[in-house]
Amino acid sequence: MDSYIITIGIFIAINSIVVSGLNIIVGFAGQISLGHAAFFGIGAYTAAILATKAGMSFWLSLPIVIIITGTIGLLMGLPSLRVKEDFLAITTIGINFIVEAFFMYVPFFGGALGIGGIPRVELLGKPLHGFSFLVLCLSFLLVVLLVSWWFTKAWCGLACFTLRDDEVAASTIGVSPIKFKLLAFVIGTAMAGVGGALYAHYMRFISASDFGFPVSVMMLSMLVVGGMGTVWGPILGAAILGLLPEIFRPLIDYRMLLYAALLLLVIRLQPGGILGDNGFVKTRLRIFSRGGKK
Amino acid sequence: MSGSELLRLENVSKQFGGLHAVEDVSFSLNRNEILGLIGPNGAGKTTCFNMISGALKPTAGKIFFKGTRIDGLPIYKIASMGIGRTFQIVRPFYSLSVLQNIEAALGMKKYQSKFQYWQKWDTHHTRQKALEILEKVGLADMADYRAGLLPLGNLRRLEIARALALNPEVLLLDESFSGLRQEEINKLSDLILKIKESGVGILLIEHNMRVAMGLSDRMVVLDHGRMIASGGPDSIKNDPKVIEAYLGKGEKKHAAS
Repeated sequence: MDSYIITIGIFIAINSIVVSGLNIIVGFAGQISLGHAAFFGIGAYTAAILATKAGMSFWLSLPIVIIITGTIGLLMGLPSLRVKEDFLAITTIGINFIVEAFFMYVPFFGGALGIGGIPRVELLGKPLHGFSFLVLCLSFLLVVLLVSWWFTKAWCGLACFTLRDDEVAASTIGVSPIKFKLLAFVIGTAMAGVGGALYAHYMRFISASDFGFPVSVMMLSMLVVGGMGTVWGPILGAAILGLLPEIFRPLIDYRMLLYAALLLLVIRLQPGGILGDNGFVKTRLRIFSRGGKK
Repeated sequence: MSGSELLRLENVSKQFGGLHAVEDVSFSLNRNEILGLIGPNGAGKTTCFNMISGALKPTAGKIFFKGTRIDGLPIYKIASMGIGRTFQIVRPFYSLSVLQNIEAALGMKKYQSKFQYWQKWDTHHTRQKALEILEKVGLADMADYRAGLLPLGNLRRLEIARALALNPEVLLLDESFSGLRQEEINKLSDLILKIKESGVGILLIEHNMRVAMGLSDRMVVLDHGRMIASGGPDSIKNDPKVIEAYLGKGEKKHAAS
């Protein structure tokens, strides 16, 4: 397969993993986050440091990455217990800037030079690159999808849905807002950590600006376009926003404009996202299942 | 303390800054009993509800549920002990279906558990149980509708159904009749009486006096946060203090004319 296509595929797969994590926090539990790239970054930096400074392999460091990102996610989820909606959005933006500044200015994290020389992922003694790395990313995406899917089927997912709709009413049916919001934050940020580790080992060089606020906005855009609160939405969103600039290569300088136009169109025409409840995919399916009648 | 006593408020007060929303209120609720909580607007009825259900912490006094002190506990803990409530302004889970609203409430025990909340919720068993409860309130034929699409009358019944799904021993109904048509009121009254018969203690806030008088076994009247009367509906009806609270004090000659 063409290595160009493989590269695009890898980025889409990694973004799908990270946006699936964002979906658990925003789409399932209704806690708006504009700082998700911070956790993507924490995952990437943890993996990079463990690989370059401690000489750990990807497989050995992965559990540590998940634990560290999830724990920091838990701490960062604490503000959501006090601030809501717009204020939570602003708080998470702040978190994103703080984390980015840490990577940028603390020498341990490589400062402005970033971290280079991250080894490739090895499996059975063979380094994975190109197609085999794509397969690795897709397998992780599969696991993430399974967790997301199970989350919608499990009581904890239902508890998060009730929190998303009405926190007070959710409490009166025995849902602890603290427990389930934090659960969503831990799972969501841990997924971002996995994506970050994959990203670090694929790029083999990372720097703070890879995980800045614009990246968070792009992730939220992917989620909104694909369909918040749906299992497949993050993948569709990541694919659309990942492919658009490639298809419209001549317009690459206007990429942000393209994103903005797409976002506005989705909000105007498909407020729940393309795979959302009243989105056109589900409407078509419904019409189809009724034998073509409207 | 009698064996059938479920809920007891002891000298409960709630102050918001300089405002005494509830002052030194004491009453108790028994099994198989409907206690009407009435009073003019701003008397402190909903504040009382919010303190019992845990949304507000009393500034003074104690609240007991079956002998255990519950004031100050978080809402979800109080709910899981067996106190269900509805809201004056309905709060359904808008994006979920009617059935899912009830199923969500059936998970009360799982939410409290350590790991059981990872189990599947959408099972035949849960569905069946939720449908039974919807059947009771007469919403079974709307099970698959999105809750956000339901009219007010049905939402009120949905709220009661959701509270019933907790299998509560105490049910707090906050103006569940407001905005309903007469036939809906009749149906809902029957339902509430049936719930009472099943051994639940019901605390009822109601502005519709005919309904409140008709349903309540005992009544407590609040005015400006104070308890001004309590007793059976008949004694309340003729209590001059209650009449004054509702209608104001008139000149003698006005009353005569």
